[in-house]
Amino acid sequence: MNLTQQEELIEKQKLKKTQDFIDNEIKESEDRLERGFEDYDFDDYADDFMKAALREKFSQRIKNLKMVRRKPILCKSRFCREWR
Amino acid sequence: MRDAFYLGKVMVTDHDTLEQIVIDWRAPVADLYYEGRLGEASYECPAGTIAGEIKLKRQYFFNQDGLENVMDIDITTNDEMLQPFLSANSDTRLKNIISTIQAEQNKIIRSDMWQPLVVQGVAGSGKTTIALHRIAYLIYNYDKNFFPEEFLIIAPNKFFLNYISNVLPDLGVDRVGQSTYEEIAFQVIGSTFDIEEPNEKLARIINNNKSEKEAEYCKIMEEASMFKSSIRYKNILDEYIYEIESRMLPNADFRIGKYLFMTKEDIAHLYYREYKNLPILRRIEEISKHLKNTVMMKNGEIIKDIEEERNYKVAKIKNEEENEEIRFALIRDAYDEADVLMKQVTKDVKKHVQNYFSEKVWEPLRYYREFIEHYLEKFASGRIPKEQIEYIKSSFAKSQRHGKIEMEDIAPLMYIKYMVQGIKTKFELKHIVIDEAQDFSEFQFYIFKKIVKSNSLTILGDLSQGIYYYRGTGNWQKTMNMVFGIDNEPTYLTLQKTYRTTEEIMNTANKVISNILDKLKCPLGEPVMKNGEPVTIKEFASEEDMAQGIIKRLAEFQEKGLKNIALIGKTVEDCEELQNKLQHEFLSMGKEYHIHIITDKDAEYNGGISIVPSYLSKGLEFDAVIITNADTNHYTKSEVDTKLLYVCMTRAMNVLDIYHVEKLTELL
Repeated sequence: MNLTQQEELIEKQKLKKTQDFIDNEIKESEDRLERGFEDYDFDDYADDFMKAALREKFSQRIKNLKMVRRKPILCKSRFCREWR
Repeated sequence: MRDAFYLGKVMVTDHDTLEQIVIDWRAPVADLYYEGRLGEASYECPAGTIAGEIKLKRQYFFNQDGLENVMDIDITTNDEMLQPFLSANSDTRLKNIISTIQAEQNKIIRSDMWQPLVVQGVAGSGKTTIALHRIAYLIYNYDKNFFPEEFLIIAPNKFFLNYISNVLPDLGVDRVGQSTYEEIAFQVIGSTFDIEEPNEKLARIINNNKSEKEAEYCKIMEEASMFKSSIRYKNILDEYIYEIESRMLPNADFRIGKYLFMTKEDIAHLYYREYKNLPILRRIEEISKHLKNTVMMKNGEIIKDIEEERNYKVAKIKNEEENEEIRFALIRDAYDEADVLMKQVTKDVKKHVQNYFSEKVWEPLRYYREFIEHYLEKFASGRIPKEQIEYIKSSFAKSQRHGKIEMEDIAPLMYIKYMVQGIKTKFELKHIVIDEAQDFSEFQFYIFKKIVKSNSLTILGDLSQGIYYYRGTGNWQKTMNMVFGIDNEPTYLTLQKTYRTTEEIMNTANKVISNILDKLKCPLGEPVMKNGEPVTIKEFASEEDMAQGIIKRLAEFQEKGLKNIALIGKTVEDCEELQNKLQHEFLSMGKEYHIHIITDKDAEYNGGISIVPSYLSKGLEFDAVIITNADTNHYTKSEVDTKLLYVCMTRAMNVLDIYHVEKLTELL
């Protein structure tokens, strides 16, 4: 690493924090899927459709998060905006 | 204000604070990372242009155990940093490159979706990988407008589709259509066909031991293929389609009984003017609706008229006919006659409209057969030599006798389907990515443009690898002008850096392709990887010696840990001959022989050692390659031989050996 110890620590913490968020989101999403979105309130006629769409969305999200969990960050940039 | 942002394959958000912990690599702000260097930079986002200064660019490297390294960089990723990625052995599947996207690749990925994009990329420049990342980018940025199913990538064969199959799911994108040209064509046409083995023609052309008669035949075959792949052929086909158009429209007014509902002039106006942009069958459907509506609108009036006429008739019968029995019969007839007429203008309208358009619509192949057999000569005479017309007619008839069609017949069949019946695909395609596009013709690109109903095509290829030159593209600009017209010029981008091969291999391959560079007018590849083994060019006393040399070399490769190895022969016959020799040598050494020849039928390359005919090696990569029979007879200075040898050479990632028994080819 060509970073200072402090920078290295920051990046490692960031990585850990990100992985924790991912773990948390996976867990929450899986719970939601398990509970069948019982806490969601839709109009009757749209209920099944919305639940199916959400199931698909959550399943895809869980799949994607599991896929990136080990290396969720690939690069970093710092951009200083000019305010005009 | 300083904004630090982290990029990853998918976005990660803190749902409590809504802070984006990691931004998706496809988001507008990520453009800064891939495109810009440290210093002044800007990016486009829905709010407009955001300008500022890049203060830091940092890259994360992971190994099996987790985070391995973090480095600050200037240009996206410099060559030194790419080395660990590049020196890894070849894999049997393509991988994502999110962390190492280069500026020239980023331009392609983020290019406007609605403008045709043509990418000339040298061998090993990552065209296919970039194409897949572009699809992932477009889906992310246009996800409100399109479904992933509305994107399609066309790859040259199933082998290739398998090779790329992991990338899109790995980029978090599912359900994008991935198809070979034949598969999508059959879906469009609505029928499947047996196609003449496309490489048979090429094998015949690249055989350098031809008789004078065979050479002459091959020349006509090449020219006829070029013609059938051109927009000129489409224009001739258009003349035939006008014939179909005119045949489908009856030269009569639309009447039911004595009642006129629409004159033939009005119907022709709808057919040739109002609905001229629709396929013929759709026009007929629209006009049929029109006729039915006209009848329905007028039938109240007509029924009244019929009733009045009937009543008049009945009154007249009552007055004039004295015989009660006859009078009764005549009145009954008058009522029956009126009922029939009323039924015709109320219940039988559909039947009358169907009868009006009595000409049946055929399957595309039947039209095409009629075109070749009865119209080609009429329309093409004086435009192409008679021998070419004769060749097209006889080769089509020959293929048809075997229940087959030629590769070059697929585009005309799709075109007929498009013009006569209209195209229905499972999903309405909005964007098509065409890989290995140098092997596609003007006519094929034109069809793709029609399928997406816009100019939204991404076309990637390498003219240096255009071995199917007789039905492919030899000049991007010329081809695209024919397809899109001069007012819709595509964006042309190039990929010059090659990440596959070592400097030594690329320099030797460049030497070969330089023989025809004036004609190709495309840039030479610039190797990123340095310090490989020198290319070995070795002469053997006999074929048997060469087989022994190969076996010895294979053992060396395996000792070095090189797993995926190709022995490339020019033709299938050369490969079979090599296989026999190797088998014989293996057996005489008491070893088990397990090297197989890759053919068109193989759906998957599973790694290991394979024998590959030169033209099937295109699009693949191997740790080591041995090119056999690289002599003056197999590889002459012709354009096709030069391209073939270049293709074979650029398949090698780390080691390239070139063997010959006869005199070494002058291309080297």
